[in-house]
Amino acid sequence: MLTIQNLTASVQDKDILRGINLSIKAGEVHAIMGPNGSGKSTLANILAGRESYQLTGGKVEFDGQNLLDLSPEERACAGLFLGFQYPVEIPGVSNMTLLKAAVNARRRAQDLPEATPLELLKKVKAAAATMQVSDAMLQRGVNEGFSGGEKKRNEILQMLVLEPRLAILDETDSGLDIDALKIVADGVNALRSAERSVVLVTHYQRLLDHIKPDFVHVLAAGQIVESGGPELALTLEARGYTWLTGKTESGA
Amino acid sequence: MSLLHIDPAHLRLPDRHQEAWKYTDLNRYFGTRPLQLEAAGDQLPPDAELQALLACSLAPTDGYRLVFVDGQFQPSSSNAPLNPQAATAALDGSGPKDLQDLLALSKLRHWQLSIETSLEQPLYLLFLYRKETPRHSNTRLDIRLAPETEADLVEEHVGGAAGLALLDLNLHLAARARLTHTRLQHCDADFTLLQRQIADLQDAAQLRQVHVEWGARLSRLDARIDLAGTAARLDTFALSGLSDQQHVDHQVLVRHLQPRAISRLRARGIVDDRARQVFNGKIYVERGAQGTDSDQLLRNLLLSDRAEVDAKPELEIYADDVRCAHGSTVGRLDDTALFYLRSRGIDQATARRLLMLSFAEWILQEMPQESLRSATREAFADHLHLRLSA
Amino acid sequence: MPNEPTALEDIIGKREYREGFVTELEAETIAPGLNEDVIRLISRRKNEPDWLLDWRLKAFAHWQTMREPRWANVQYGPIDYQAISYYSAPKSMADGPKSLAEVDPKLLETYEKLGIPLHERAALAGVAMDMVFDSVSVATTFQEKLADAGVLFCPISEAVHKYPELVQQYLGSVVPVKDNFFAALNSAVFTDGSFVYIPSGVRCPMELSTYFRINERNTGQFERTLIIAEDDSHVSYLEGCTAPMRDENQLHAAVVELVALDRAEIKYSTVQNWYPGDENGKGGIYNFVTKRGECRGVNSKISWTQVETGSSVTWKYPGCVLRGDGSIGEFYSVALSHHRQQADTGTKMIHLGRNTRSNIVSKGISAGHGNQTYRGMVKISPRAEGARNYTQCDSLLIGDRCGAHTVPYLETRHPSAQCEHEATTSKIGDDQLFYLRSRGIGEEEAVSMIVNGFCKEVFRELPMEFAVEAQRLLSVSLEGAVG
Repeated sequence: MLTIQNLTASVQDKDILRGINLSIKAGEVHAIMGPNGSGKSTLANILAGRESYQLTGGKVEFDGQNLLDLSPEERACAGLFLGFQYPVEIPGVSNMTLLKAAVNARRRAQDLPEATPLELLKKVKAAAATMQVSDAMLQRGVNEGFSGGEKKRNEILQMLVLEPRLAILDETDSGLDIDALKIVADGVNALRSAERSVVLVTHYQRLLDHIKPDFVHVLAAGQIVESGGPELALTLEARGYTWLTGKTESGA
Repeated sequence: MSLLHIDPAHLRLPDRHQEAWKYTDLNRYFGTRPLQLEAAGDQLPPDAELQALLACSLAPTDGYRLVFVDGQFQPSSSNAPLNPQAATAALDGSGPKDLQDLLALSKLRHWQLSIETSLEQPLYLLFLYRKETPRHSNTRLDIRLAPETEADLVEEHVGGAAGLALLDLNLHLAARARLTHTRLQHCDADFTLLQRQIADLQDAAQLRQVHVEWGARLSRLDARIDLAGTAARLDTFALSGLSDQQHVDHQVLVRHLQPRAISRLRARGIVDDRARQVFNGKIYVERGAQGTDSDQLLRNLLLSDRAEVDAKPELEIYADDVRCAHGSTVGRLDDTALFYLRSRGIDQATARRLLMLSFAEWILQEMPQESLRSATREAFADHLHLRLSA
Repeated sequence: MPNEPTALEDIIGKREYREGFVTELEAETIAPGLNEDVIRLISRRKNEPDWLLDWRLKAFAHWQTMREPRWANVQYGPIDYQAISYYSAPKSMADGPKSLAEVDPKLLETYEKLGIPLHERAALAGVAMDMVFDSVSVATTFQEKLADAGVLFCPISEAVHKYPELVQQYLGSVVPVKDNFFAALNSAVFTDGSFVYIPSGVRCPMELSTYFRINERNTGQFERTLIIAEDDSHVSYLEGCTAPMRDENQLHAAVVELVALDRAEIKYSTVQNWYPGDENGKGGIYNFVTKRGECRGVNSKISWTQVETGSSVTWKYPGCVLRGDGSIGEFYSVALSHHRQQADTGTKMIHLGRNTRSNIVSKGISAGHGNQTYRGMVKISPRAEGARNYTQCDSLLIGDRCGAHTVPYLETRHPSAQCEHEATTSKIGDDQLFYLRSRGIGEEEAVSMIVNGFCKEVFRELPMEFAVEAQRLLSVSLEGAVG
């Protein structure tokens, strides 16, 4: 579904990604772990089309298309979803308005008729129930005045409504208490299927107790330095990241 | 010595038809109280008079002092390691156009003070105005800080009786210079002070100002602060406490000319009796000054139904990547806080004083020097009859 | 490759002004020029009583002593007041307003095209409309239904004949003829406009609306609106306006006066969509308008809501004189300046009575080379014990060639007054745009969503149909502004 080949990127002439290679098949769940500043969030944002990075090399294919040629909205309409680490507040634009516009944009891209208000409402209500998001929150401005945990739950709610083929969740577990973590994990698990893939970007292993990954990758200094199964996450938890840092080319 | 007549019948003075003088009409002001004043002379006043004036100052007697009497620098009374130099050729002696006629009445005294190395101690600039024979004076002082120097200046205005002073005090901060500038104005109740301050801050220079005034009949400050270098920073705190028929007018223009400069302005006023407080704060952001971060907060307490507060917080913005905000409030003491104090057994009058003192303290606490701060706090409280009965 | 930041500007290409067509019909247009004879001619056309002609002539005499105000933050070339024709009416309207059945089909078609069907069957349910075309009122709908409720709604030229005492009592009582240059000019040459009278205790059963259309070349429009709400009455009134696209500027100088008596409430909404000129600033309407409401009665309320997307230059400060104790004034505004548009607009809240309150929410949007100024005055008089004001002014800048200015005056002369003013300036955050785009929403729609969200507090003050129209106008006006 997603193939990343030797992807390199920099910000203000500082190399952040230094040759990422990764292949994700339909139905798989990958976890990308790594210390702060290793480039995890940069990778997630580049895949979603954020424009504040210089792409210096490499290729990314998503369902056979060159992903890097697409605008952020085209990527979303193609079935890619980014759960933000810091979801932004958009005053005056209600969550419902956003969901309606987003669902219909995707439908138009697929040459489907727009969702009827009833269809949309049903879908949103179901997702809201899973994510324990109240009606009042749905009517409020996007993330306006939401707590950190509410913002993250709202991200997963959007994911459930938009039903992406590939969901990239950037530190969705950060700042969550144990109950909220469970809700978020339930939301992600509800979406898992043979056609959908998930990339979990996380610093800690604890999310992986609730969402079992098929593969775990360790990103350090802009490169994937180790890949393995779920057991790798446990090793990292026990030994920390330092034992891997020697594996990067520059030793940074 | 001939007397100068300051009378709108003979002078061209700015009036309320000029936007900048909308709330301070000098024609009307001098129309009701035409002055006849001697121009400031060169000779030192008698020692007794000088000592009496010095005794009014709140500055500590052992600090570095530069003493100006009616705008004339007095080396014999000064004790600082550096002295201002009389400028021979005025760089730009023209002064503000709208005050041209007033400025022409007496000779301009122009001084320059260059701070080439950081000052270890605060430097007190004492502007004393003679009381026994009130004068008219016209002074300009340019202060330059060399790159990376640091200084702590205190400017204090004292005395003056029914005199009139025009003062241009300009600050030039070279790259990375840091200046703390405190301004205290507690001249006599009949005094008129028209002051202008033009400051420019080069790259990463920092200016921190605390203005406190509770004196003079009319005190006008026209300030323009140019953040002319990138990442320069300005913090201004202003407090005024006015009673009787006092009139204080601050016109402050902060210009963000280069990217990533920061400016913060906090002004508070307590206005009683028939006094009037005017504050026009304007933030200007030049095209290209991206990353500007600027805000202004004006708060005023109006204590009498004959007092007036006129506020005009303006924004003029030509760059899009900026964060600019201003707020202005006028009101009375918080009823809830008043009730809270009274419920603790404090009588109403005391509770009101307490709350006004706490309102003022918000600015006073920004004064860097402990001893000067407590002296200022006491004098300010006395002026507004806020001292808590012992 | 989306690595190249697309200029917001690129997206807002060329604005479509779909109201910019001209209706070809025979008009009676008097020769350009302004003098006493022209004023007499206008008065004669309208068959006016002597007192009104005298009133006009006095206004004209005073106007000649006045200078055009130049203090606003707008730049435009000199206006030649002698080059404007002060009266133009379709020939078919020569005998004054008629019943709908007799109105020239070309005129009806014009309004159909503007999306305002005049036949009562097809008309917006619950909205009675007065149509002002150049210098005359073409038709007023639902007059009978309104009359049943005791509500008077007709062209002001008709009210002069039918209700002379009311007109004479109130005309110029809120905006005196000498108030300002443009108000004096309007008083001298006004041609038509709407008159509304709501009797005591009546809640007007329909929304009232006037649609102003400039059609003829080289004319100005000088309409005059007067709304009187007696004790305990309530009315909601809306105005809309459009004009053809032309390369030369046309002048619109209106006066609106509102009077609210005891406990009466007037809600006045404007969706202003005069031709804004092209992207280089050629053409467009000069919109110099004086609007003022007086809360004369106790606990009365006047609320102004405006959405200003059109005109090349706007000079407009709808205000409230809060004379009655406990009266309330409100001002909600969205103003947009794109391309070379300039707007200097805001409000005046004059607190005279006790416990008066005012609320101001202003949202200014600047894009392209547009310049936008909020200018507002809040004045608390020495008698206005317990007065309160809250002002919020937010500016949104799109691109780095536009400008936003905020000039609030706050004059307080009572110790019990509580005034609060807040203002912010911001741009559309890159983070917000990226967030919406990552959800599949195209850039232009994302910008439009963010801008509409920015304006939401104002839009919710508009009646439903107009809120939708306002959002559409905002999106159309911003086309090509963003990237």
